[in-house]
Amino acid sequence: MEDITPTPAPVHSALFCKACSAKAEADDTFCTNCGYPLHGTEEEQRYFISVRDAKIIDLSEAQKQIRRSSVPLYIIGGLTAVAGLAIYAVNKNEEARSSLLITNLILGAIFAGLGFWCNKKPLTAIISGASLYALMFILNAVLNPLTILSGIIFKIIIIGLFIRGIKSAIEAEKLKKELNAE
Amino acid sequence: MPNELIPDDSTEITALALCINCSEPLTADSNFCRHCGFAQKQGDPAEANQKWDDIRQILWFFLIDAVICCVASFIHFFHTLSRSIIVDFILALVSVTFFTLNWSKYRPLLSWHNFSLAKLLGYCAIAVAASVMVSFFVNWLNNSLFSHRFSYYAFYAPHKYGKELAVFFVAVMPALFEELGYRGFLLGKLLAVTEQKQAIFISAFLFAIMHTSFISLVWLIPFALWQGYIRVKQNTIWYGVCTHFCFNFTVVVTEIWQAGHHL
Repeated sequence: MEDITPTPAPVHSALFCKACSAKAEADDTFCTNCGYPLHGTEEEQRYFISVRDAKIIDLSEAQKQIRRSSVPLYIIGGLTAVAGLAIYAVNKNEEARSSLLITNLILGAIFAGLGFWCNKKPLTAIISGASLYALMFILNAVLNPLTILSGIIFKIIIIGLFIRGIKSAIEAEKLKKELNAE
Repeated sequence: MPNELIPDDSTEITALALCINCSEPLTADSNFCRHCGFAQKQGDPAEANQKWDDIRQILWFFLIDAVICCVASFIHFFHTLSRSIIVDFILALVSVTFFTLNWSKYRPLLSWHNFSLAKLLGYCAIAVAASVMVSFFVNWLNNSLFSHRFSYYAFYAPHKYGKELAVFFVAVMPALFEELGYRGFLLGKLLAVTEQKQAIFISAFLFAIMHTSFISLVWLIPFALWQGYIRVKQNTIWYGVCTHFCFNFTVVVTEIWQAGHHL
């Protein structure tokens, strides 16, 4: 009697990387897309996956820090707009209060826009926002040196968040390069 | 992680791509060596530190310029010709200092190997046309919003060589030293830190806000974006210096011409 046991389907797993599913040639020792040791020992493959997972966690942490950096941009934007409204309410000079209100509202909108942009282009948004904030700080200090001290703790926290955001953005860029992720 | 399959025709090995670790031939799109597994695009920790150092230099340059510009613009003590000239020379010195701190890296920007007269005239014509449009727009804005005229020339006009001084300090000095500082040093540093479009944008934004004139942002940002584009495309600062000079020179000439008509 003829053997009717079905022949097992050919396994193609060797042609695709187990880590990233990219196509691989049979004689490739490592995946050219992610560096996975295609013909490595089980231990080597496990080690590769654990290192990659650790980098993914680091990347996720860096991206969390970047998202936090958008918070000071929104806060400064909001405070600038509120300050404009307050000046408008208090100031009696019609021309001055109108131009200050418009200036503050547009500045607030620029900060809010940079905060929104922070998710897409963090480094650009944070450097631009931090520079604009620094310029406002210097301008106020030149016009009234006492403003250097007012809200100094708040200002230090904001500057600290910007610095951490820039460092996180650089770190995220490095990790993305290592993970070949865009 | 990208899951795209590599098309069969992309697996052709090119002689130009070699592994940076074992020199094994690689396909053009390989991120890792198929032979030794070495990453071809290294996320080098030293590179990350270098980027942070570059950003620190950018921020120092910006902060120093910002302090000088704010002090010069908003403190009445500096609103005399001699003090304003001192401020202009300090600003120039800052640009030269930061540029020369990175001399070996940015020296090629001072050469002009790809000089083309047609290109130069084309760029300058665009700069003059843009400047004329901006001048009329500013006049209209000043007259309708603030009911007064603002003129760079008015500051120099009372002096014996007012016209020459205005041309030198409004057109020549900024064209040379702002280009050296912002398109030479600053944009060069930013290009080492981030991708090209982002670098051009940041340099344009910083250049524009440095002028501490809110309404000016409307034309300064597009102008600085264009200047940054020229600098990156031509890999020299000289086209930018010439276009910047033409732009500012047109403003001064327009103001002198208008002053003559009003007198």
